[in-house]
Order: sequence, then C-alpha cells, then structure tokens
Amino acid sequence: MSGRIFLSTAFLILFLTPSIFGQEIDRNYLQVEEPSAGNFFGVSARAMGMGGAQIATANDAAGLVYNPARLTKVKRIEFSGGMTHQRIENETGYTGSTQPLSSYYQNESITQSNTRFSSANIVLPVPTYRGSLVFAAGVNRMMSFDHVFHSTLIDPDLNTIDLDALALETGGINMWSFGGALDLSPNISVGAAVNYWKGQDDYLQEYYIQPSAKNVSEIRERNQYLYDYSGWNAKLGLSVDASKFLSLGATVDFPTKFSIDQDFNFNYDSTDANTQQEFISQYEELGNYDLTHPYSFGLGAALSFKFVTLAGDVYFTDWSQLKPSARSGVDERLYKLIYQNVTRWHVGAEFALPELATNLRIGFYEDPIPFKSTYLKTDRRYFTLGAGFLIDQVMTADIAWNHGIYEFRDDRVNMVKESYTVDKFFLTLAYRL
Amino acid sequence: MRNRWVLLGVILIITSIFAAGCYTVLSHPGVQGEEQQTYNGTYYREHCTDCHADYHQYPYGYYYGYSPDYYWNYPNYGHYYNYPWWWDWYYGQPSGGEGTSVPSERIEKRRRLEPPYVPGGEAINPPALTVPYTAPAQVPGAVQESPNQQPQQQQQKEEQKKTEEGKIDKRKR
Repeated sequence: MSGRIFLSTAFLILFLTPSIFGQEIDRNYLQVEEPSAGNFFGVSARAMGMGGAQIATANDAAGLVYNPARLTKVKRIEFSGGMTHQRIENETGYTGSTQPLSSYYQNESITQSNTRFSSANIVLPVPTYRGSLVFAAGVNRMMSFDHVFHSTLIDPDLNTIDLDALALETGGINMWSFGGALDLSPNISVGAAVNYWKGQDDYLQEYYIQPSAKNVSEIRERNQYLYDYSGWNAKLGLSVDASKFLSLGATVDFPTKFSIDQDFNFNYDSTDANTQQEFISQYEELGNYDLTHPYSFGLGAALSFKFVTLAGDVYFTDWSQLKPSARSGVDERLYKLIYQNVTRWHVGAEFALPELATNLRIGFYEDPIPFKSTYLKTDRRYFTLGAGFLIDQVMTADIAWNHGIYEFRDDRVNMVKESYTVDKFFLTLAYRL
Repeated sequence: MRNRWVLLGVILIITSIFAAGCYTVLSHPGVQGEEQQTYNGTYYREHCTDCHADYHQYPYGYYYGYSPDYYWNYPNYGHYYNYPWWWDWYYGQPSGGEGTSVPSERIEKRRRLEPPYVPGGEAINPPALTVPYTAPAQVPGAVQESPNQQPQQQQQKEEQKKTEEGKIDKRKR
C-alpha cells in the first residue's frame, strides 16, 4: 500500500460534478498526497509575532529551530516552554447569490479547535573567556496535521442531502533537537542541530450517499488512516553581524528520511437502490515505507535601528525531490509531476518600548502549498501580531496571533469554493537563571 | 546511507573547528610566572594591561557585540539578554549582601572589573566599542587596543584610568 491512495465512491462522484473541491479533491486526485510536505506551523511566540522571520534575529531558544548559529546570542541559562491554540474553519459551497450550474451545492462550514503543547527547550551557554559557546536541547512541535473539511450536496428535486462528506484530521510531528553554536569571530557564528522527528497523523474520512430517484445506492463509508512518522536530520546555521545595523543569516536543512508506519481501516456499507441488497466490507491494511524530504535552504536579514528591528527570511525547498522508498509502491515520478519548488517567505518587525519592558511585533508570511493545484485561488498567507514582556529581568512572556486564509475554486465556474480561515495563538514563557 | 555521511560530515566539521581552535576560548591561557604572583592588595592582576590595553573595556574577555543601545539605559534588558550567567559566579553580587563576609580580595576584583549590567548596578552609557584586534604573536585570548577606536572610547578610558589612579592614591595614603 502506498502513501496515500484514496479511491472512494463519494469522491469519484464529486469528480463527476461540475465543480471540484480543491484541497480535499487535490489530495484524492494526487494519490500521493503527503501531509508532511510543506507543513510549517511555527514555533515560538516571539518568532510568530514577527511573521516567522528569525534566521537573522533569533535571540533565544527558538534559535535551535530557526538558526542554530543564533544560539550564541543567549548569555544566560534559559528554560522555555510554549503552548499553541489553533482554530481552523472550513467553508464549502458556492460564492454567488445563486447556485452555480446546478442546485447541488450547499453552503457548509465546520470548525475545529486544538490546544497543543508546542515547545520545551533549555539553552546552556558555556562560560567562556572570549566569544560564545552555547548548547541547547528541546522538543518543538514543527508540523500540524489539524485539519477539517465538510461538504454536502443536495438533490434539487427532493431537496434532501445527496452526499455528505466529512474529513477530520488531527496530529502533528515533534522535533527533538540537540544543538550547539559558537563564535568564530566577534561577529560570525556557526551552529548545528541534530533532530529526531516523531509524530502521528490521524485522518478520518466519512461519506454518506443517500439513495435518490436517480437510482444511486445508499453508501456509508468510514475510512481511518493512521500514520506514524519518525526520522532524523540535521540543520546547519550561519549568523553574521555585518554591522551594528545589519545582521545576516543562512541555514541548511539536510534531508529528513522519515520511516512511516501506516494502519488503514476501511468500513464500507452499501445498499443497492434496486435490489435492496446490502453489501458490507471491513478490512485493515498495515504497511511501512520510507519517504525522504529534500534539502531546504534559508536566508535571512535583519535591520536594527534604535528601537526597531526589521527582518525578512526566505526558504527554498524543491518538493518535487520527495523521494519514496521502493516498497512504498509509489512511482517517484509521480512526486516529480505533482510537487513543485516553493519559496516560503517571512517578513516581520519588532518595536521596543523599554520603559514598559514591552516589545510589539507585526509580520506577514506566505507559505505556498507544495503541490501543483489546478484549483488554488489564494495561497496560504498569514498576517501576524505579537507582544513580548520582560518581567523582572529574569523572565519573558510572549504572545502572538496569526490569521491566515487560503482558498480553492473551480476556475470553470469560479463560484464553487473550498476555503479555510486559520487563527493560531502562541504563548511562550522563558526563564533565565 | 547518504544521511549518515552527511551526519558524519557535520560532526567532522564541528570537531575540526574545536580541534583547530577558534575565536571562542573557554578560559584565559596560563601566563608564565602567574602562579608565583600573589595578590598584594593594591591592584588585582596589575599586569593584565601589559597584554590587554583595553582591559577595562573588555573585562574578563567580554565583547559587547552589536546590542541595541537601550540595553545600556535599561539594565533589565541588558541583564536578561547580555549579562553572562557565569559573571554572577565571577563577580558575585555587587554589594555582597548585609551580614555576609566577603573577602577583601573579591571586593577588590569586583570594583576593578565590574562589568555593565551588574545586577543593581547603575545604568551606564554605552562605550562606542570596536572589534578587538588580536595581534598574531599575542597570547591567545589577549586583546589589544584597536587602532580605530572612537573618541568616546578613548575618552572613557582616560576617565577610567584617572579614576583608577585616584583610587590607588587614596589607598596609598
């Protein structure tokens, strides 16, 4: 059994309708949809208040994630931890005031909320006579699979629901890291981290097709896909303080080779519309395969003025280089055809109000989907706000809010949509001895 | 297999950096004859400035780096972001605390070498520091005065020197 192969009657029917739902249908059409590809959630409230632009500005434990070389900026032993809360709303249906082409589409919305542990890190600067030598270790939730989708189609004659399709997905991947950094010169630092990735994706699809005058059989289908991810990789970072005002950074994420254990449970129940004969099918499939994520390269720059820091990062990842193992049963060429090279970019600013021991942050980032979608209308874009408070010179409390949208539409009718509105909240507390 | 080679490469690079030595040094190298010197109560490590002309600007090998200026005016920021934790061990608390017995040698060390951001210390203005220049023939870790030091720094050094001399004179009396 390969990575993700979905061939359900309900979605095949959706294929035959005049419109197609983007992400859910894309993920079915792709057949090799890989949820861990291009999956950036964000770590650290300070970072995510600044739109995730941290390669040249990280000055705390978040350096372990964004640029290990920036760990040299930490002078005190730091303990930090964080939580996140995500609210994702999915809307499907039509965008105009009248039904497009047919009367099939029903406006639906569904919301999923998840509060998660996000991070726990420790940073240990080694006493030095000159320069900086810092080690760090921690666990950070790097990827989120939390996702929801609901769609219904109605019968125009009977005004009853023809099809009810629901997808619920939860889980994520944590990254356990150990890293270190040191100064090579007063203004040049290098760092490295070794990461162990571990997590789970729980994806549930449910369909219900009601029998109608069109002689469609009644079908109930409930498929559950469990994926257990584990893998290793390394990250290198470089940080250069080119002047008092300009900092530069660069990172290389080495390929992560994931070992993926899968457990599929299929439950299919149908009743023939003509003969009323019932057919029930239940079976389970277990499998394991490897999937290697490609290199990812990051560049960042930051400008620091009196009370203001401006930062920007770009990451280049060629997802068409996703490489499955032979036993996955998926032809590697499928990934090359479907996935693409993406540039994720982040910009952010931080305003210091030292009299109030407060920092205000604002940012924006675009996180393009890694596959070629025919139906993508608006790519994943997030607007971010944040604030940080220095408490009694030993503790910081940071909060951030990210608001993002992305939408898929069928260009042929431009009225049927699948849209997502995402709100993420981050809280990070840090204590320095 | 390929990943293992990459990992091995990363480990080798890191090891070679440490093995070859670099800018970062953990402790001041031993100076010949230092063991025989005893503290005489007048000037702790009075010979430090023989090698470290800007010793008072870079106490304990410290380099200020490019920090936001407001760190200096708001010591809570300076303490949190720029004050190395091991200085607490080296310099101790500024006052020593009431009722605690602090050796006079240690008090002297503090007075002479007290760095910025010392907890409870007074806010100070940032010296316009430049990157320390280390002559090739110098002892590793030694810092020499940079030729392009800015006037502010020179002026501060002169003022500091005068203060130090004043303190020594008073003690002599």
